[in-house]
Amino acid sequence: MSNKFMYNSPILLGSNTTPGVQIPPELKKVIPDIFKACQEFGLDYFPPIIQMLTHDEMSEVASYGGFGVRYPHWKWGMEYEEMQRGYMHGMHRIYEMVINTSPCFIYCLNSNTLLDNVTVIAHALGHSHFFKNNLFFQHTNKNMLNEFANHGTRIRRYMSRWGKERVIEFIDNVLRIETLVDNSKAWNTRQVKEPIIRDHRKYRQPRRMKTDSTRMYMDDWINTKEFMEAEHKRIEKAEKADDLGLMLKPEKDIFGWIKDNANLKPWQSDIMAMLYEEAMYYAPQGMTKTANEGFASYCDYKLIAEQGLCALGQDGHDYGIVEYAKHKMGVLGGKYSTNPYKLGFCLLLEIEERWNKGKFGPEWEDVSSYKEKENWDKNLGLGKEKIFEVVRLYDDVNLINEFFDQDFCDKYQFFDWQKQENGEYVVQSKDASVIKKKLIAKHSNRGLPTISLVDPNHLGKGIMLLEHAWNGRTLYIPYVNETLVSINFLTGKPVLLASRDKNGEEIIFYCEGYGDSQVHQLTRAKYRREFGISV
Amino acid sequence: MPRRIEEDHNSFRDVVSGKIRKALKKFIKTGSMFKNRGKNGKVQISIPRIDIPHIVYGDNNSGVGRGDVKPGDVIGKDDPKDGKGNQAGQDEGEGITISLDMDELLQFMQDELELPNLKPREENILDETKIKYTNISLIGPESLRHTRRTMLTALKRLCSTGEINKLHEIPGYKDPVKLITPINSDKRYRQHKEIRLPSSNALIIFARDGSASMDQNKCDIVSDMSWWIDVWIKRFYKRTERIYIWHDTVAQEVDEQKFYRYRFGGGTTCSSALKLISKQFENRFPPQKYNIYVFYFTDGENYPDDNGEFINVLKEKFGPETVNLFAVTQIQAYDYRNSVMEAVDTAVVDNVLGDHVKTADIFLKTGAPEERSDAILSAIRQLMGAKGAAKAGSD
Repeated sequence: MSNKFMYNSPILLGSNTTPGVQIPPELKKVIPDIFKACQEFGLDYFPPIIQMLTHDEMSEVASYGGFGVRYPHWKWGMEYEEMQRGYMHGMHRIYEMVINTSPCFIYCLNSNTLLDNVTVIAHALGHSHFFKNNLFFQHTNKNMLNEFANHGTRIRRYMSRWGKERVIEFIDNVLRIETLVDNSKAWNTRQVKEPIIRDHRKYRQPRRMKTDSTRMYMDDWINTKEFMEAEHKRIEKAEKADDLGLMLKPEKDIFGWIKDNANLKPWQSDIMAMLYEEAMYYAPQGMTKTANEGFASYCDYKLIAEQGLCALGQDGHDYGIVEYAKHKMGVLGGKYSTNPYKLGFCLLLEIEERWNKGKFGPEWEDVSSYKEKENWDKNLGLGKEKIFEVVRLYDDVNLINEFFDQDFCDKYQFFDWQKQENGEYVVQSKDASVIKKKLIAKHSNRGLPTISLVDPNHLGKGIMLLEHAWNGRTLYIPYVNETLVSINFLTGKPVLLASRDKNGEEIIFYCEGYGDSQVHQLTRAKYRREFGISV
Repeated sequence: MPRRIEEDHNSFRDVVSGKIRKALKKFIKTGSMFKNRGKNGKVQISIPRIDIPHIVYGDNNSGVGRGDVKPGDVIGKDDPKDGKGNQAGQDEGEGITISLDMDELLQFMQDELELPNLKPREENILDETKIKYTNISLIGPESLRHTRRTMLTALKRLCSTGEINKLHEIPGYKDPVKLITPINSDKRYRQHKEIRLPSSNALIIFARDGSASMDQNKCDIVSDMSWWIDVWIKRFYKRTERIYIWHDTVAQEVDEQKFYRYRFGGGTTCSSALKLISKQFENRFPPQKYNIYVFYFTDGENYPDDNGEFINVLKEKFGPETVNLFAVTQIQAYDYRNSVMEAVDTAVVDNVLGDHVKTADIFLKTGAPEERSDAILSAIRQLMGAKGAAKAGSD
């Protein structure tokens, strides 16, 4: 914990006044109790700072993604307008916001009731626990508040030097490829790009099994001649590919590739690097949305409802539970809600029950009688421990893959629907394996199509060849066109994207240049004709 | 201190208005402006959705739900014709509809077509009186009392006499306080002042040939053109009046509905319309009080003998001291030779008629909506545009 000096400081106990409004005294009184209850529950969070905001300020902070200072861009204004409009029409309101930083800032809305705010704080501390302990957040920068502010300063400086419109046009183009990143690279530590040395060469060593120095005579048997020859061949191939500038395997991280390889001016590369960092910072949050929100909901449910924190600061010990239930219903939706947060919450509750009753392992799987299953209870009480393990190690895909089974599916009445030709939505099946497949598809790669860069120098003509891993779902064509135009803008190269339409027919998007009408759709035959490929 | 988000919010508004400009251009160019005449001074325009495009999935034809159902149940229905719903719209028609003021649209049209502002003739600028409460007087009704001035005068009086430092006991207050109490001579009242403002009236006269050769299509063009001319002229004059003249061999004044729809077989004597209009100038609409704009629509056919008469009447009764503009629009003429427009053009070139007489020709080859609206817009530009622009337009 890097911010030890902040312990017991008045700011942590809620006596801060700027920005925002004074924390109401009745909330201030109960804040230490909430912290204490959370710690006893086992939450391990970053030092929290609670701030009360008016609705306007909340909208501002929320449209900046939870951070006070960002680079100037109209997209924040767009979100702000949307939020203001939503609030005006009474459609939605933001109860709380919490960000993945240390110390963690918890923003509460000043029009919330006392119970709402107590809930919000418990919920936000759950998030903070997740940010601090989950494997996928291990390498995120916990000082992002300052980092984002620095990005803002740098981009403002570039704007005054190179012209606001020019910089904004560039940022607009970069933001379109923001989602084309490899989420697994969030683990990679940041590296400074190596300077380009003309005769720089990457040396490769053949892989070999280790032999003990006293048993060198075994070497010929362990690292056989054939094995070593194959290794040498592999290295030779890789080196040749390096010489020719070939790409050996598809690159999912198109944003990163363009950042490192496109011919950009220094200010452009700097902006790209900053935006790449921001995209990577948000990647784990996209990957763990269901688990994270589920865990935070689980925390506030446990603390407020089961441990009775809902009566904090109220007149009687049993006050507030109905109001809490109402609040919860608003957040998670009703009985049949398909809200992804509800899915995460239900999964965690199910895990807790199973591990409390010992419904796992081979012993449980062998049980066939329905009655025996119903009454199975070994009183193990491992539920909470298991939940904290899940929080440490799982992301959305893993969570659904491991715990979504037929029992869970039946209990929560999931079904699978399909749209028919005549516009009717018809229930197809209640089979867990089908539903699970769909849910996983919805959560893997943050629910976005998988696009990878196959060849940056296609046919030796400098064409960027991208490929869409088609899984039956088609792409939204107007946005594909605009994104391809942006890739063209950034790399200066023509772009090809191979995909399929809904019948499985191949379509190839071809972007020739920077402009609205520069993208065409080709069939394979037309593509062959256009690029002079003989069959 | 302005909040940070305001800067970004303003730049978002700029992005939106940029999109609106683009949409307006399309709106005017594709002719939807003629279909969608503004209601209540507002015009509906749809702009594309503003978002940062990413590569995303398009269709959403299947999914996961929760509920107490059996396989085979129907849980919802989209209208297949609607095409919206979950299809997420593969075409770009989808967007936000916003309503714009007519003024904004006209301003945009002015920029786009490079039309100059209309100017009233100098002798026609009338004075109009308007009452504004800008004066102050010592007497007046209590309802018009100017409280701030009154208190200020009272304060001045108290300061000059030194009474201001006097303390008064007031029931309900612990400490004695200083008081400013106005007396009658301090009171000041608002008083009105008459301001004379220049003002001008306009009279728009639409006249058209009503012979059998003016078919429905031509009438529609007349209708579209006259509507936009009407909106355009209204923008520059406080009060506008319109009269509609229709003629075959004899001219008559009709109402608006009739003007656009009425057709009757018969010959064509164009000069009859002019004679009827000029009669109106004598009593009803004296040219000294009105800025007169005359728009005459024809398909070019006239009794050949009548063209000379037409020019004569035009020369005598429609001089630049009488009308601001006399515009002849010829729609789908079979032949330029011997048409009304040729006669007028020749007269203008020979300096028989002044600069205030203008002509425009609308001739559609295909009748496609784009061509049609382009032709109408260029005709409006020729008639209302500056001199140079008119020439460029007719080339």
